[in-house]
Amino acid sequence: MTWLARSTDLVSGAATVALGAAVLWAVSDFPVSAPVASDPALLPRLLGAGLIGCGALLVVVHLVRRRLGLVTADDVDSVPLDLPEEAEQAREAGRTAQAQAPAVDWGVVGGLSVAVTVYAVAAFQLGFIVSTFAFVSAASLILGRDRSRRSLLTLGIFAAAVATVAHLGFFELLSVRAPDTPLP
Amino acid sequence: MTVLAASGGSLYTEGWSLVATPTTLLLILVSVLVGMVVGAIPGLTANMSVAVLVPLTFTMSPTEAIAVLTGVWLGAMYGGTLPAILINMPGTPADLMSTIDGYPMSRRGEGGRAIGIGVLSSFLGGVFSVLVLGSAGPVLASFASNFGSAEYFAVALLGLSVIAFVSGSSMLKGIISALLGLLVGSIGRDVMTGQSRLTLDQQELYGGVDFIAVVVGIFGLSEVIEQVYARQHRLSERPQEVRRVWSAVKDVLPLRWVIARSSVIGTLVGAIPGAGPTIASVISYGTQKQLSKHPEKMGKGAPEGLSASDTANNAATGGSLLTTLSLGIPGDALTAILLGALIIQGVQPGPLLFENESALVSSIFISLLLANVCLLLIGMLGARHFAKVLNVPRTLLYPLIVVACIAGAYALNGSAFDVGVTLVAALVGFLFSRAGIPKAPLVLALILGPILESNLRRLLSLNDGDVLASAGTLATSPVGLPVLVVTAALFILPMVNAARERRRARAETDDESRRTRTRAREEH
Repeated sequence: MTWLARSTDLVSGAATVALGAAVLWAVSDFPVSAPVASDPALLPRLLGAGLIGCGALLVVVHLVRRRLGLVTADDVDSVPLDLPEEAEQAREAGRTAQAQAPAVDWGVVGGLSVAVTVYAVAAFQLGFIVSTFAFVSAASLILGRDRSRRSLLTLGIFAAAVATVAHLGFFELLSVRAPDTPLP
Repeated sequence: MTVLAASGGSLYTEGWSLVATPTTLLLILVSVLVGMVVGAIPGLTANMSVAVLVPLTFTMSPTEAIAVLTGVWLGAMYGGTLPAILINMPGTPADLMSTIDGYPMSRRGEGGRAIGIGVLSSFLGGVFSVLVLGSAGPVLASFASNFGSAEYFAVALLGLSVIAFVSGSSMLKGIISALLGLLVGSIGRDVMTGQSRLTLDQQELYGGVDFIAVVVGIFGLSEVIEQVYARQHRLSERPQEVRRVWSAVKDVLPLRWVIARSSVIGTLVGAIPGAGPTIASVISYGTQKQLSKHPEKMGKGAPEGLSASDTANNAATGGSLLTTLSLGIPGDALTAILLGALIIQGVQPGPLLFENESALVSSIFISLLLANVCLLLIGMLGARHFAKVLNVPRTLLYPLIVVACIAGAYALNGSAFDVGVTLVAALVGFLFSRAGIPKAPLVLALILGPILESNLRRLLSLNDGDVLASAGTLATSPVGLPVLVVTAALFILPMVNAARERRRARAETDDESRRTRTRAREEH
């Protein structure tokens, strides 16, 4: 288990505190309204304070648990819902299966995330049909699709069909104005 | 008066003219089918399928839109039972309990019978809850028409507290998720003063963050990335062949009391703001185990266990729609998405909906009933073919979902900005999963945030900004006080339980060390 995996609560608690502080800072220049009911910063201030409090509590709970030797963040006991024994076993089996699963394929996760981001930009700047065709083909290969000639041919037909149907469905059927792009 | 006039039989007749068109009927059929296919693929949830399809309903009439979305919802709820029974992998979180008895049945060659029991139980539970919705909806709406800001604030707070309380492994994380949802919901121009809040000087944010763009990112795009993270794209399941689905018909009569009881439990639990089908099926299964004449058979392929969880799971749909339609307070994340879709259609759920749009409300009930009938027919006739859905290559399916998410986000307002919001929401959703923070409270808070804030500020205005006087109004309200007491109990109970657990653990440790010391002394 990496340090990050062991310290997710610490990191998320600290991030929550930082976000709460950022919210309080963002509304700090709001004029203080005399009647509290018409104060536009009332809710953001309450939320900012709540985030700081909860984030700090998460950090403290994590540190206390670590001191007691309880590293795992998953505390099922904190939900006072009596799960039947079988449900607990099913959850336990799921957890065991997850623990035994092979390591995360970061190459595929990263590759797909980049492909999605590039597609989200290119679809409305370059051309929806071309980008969709390229994305479906690339994403499928990133996910490990077989690269035999027959499989690639099927993929090409599938990608072309998805691009056409998505364009017709969203831009023709729903009458959404298509962006002006150099490519179709 | 009008509300009462709209109650009873008219709710089941008035909307027929809206629903009984070839287009709407076809849409219901197709949406149930689509929902079943998506729900049958492990990891793809009902929330995801509904969220991804919301943009496609924009050009439809409100009746068609709600028919499509509820059809997909019901279909996905049932579809999730298939992998739960056949490969011991729940298609949706609400189907976790179906694996307990469904899979052992499948292992001993009774997969078809188990699926049949699941379909029939889901159908009967679903129909029961719709009938309750039809009769209790107008009554609740009539009751809620007297609600003021104090009552609405209290009920919205309860909904948020319940979901923060039950939706994840840690209540603290549930609260953080809800606070973040409220924060995102507060972005944009303040409705009372017009001042922009937390907009980072982005003009597109003045109108607030688009709810559907966030939902598509959180439940659609991020779930694809999560599936890839969990290496689900490499899975290929070969479930056993499904046979003798119809043999389940003769199981219904012996299971009639299980189905009746689970229908009531499912509908009641579903109606509690914040609770949902997963909780309903857990409670129903637990109750059945306590009441069963053969509790030793539960967990080893007992039809009653499967029936209890599947009935309650589907009955919760009508229950959660009850509070969504009559109070305007969504029961869970999925009804929050439906609520958002209705608002986009120009329909404002709440007590006035039953008064002003009784034909639309009626059409929703009829659509739900028809969707349940479609579920029964398709489920019984097509179960053999649906099992093959598990073989669909994920390498093609996931890119297809991504395209639907991105194009759908753009279609919301014809703006690439919403696509950016969806990408950010997807990243947040992925990080939430990694940090063990539940997503449902965020989505619910996003829709409940404006209700909470506007009613809180209205309450303060009515009391001239006096916080103590506003608290007094809340405390003296016959609805507000009990609701607030329950909300407070939700926060206090876990702390009391944790303290008791700690005391017990400490006592056990002390006992153990005392025994060890005594042993050591004796040995010495």
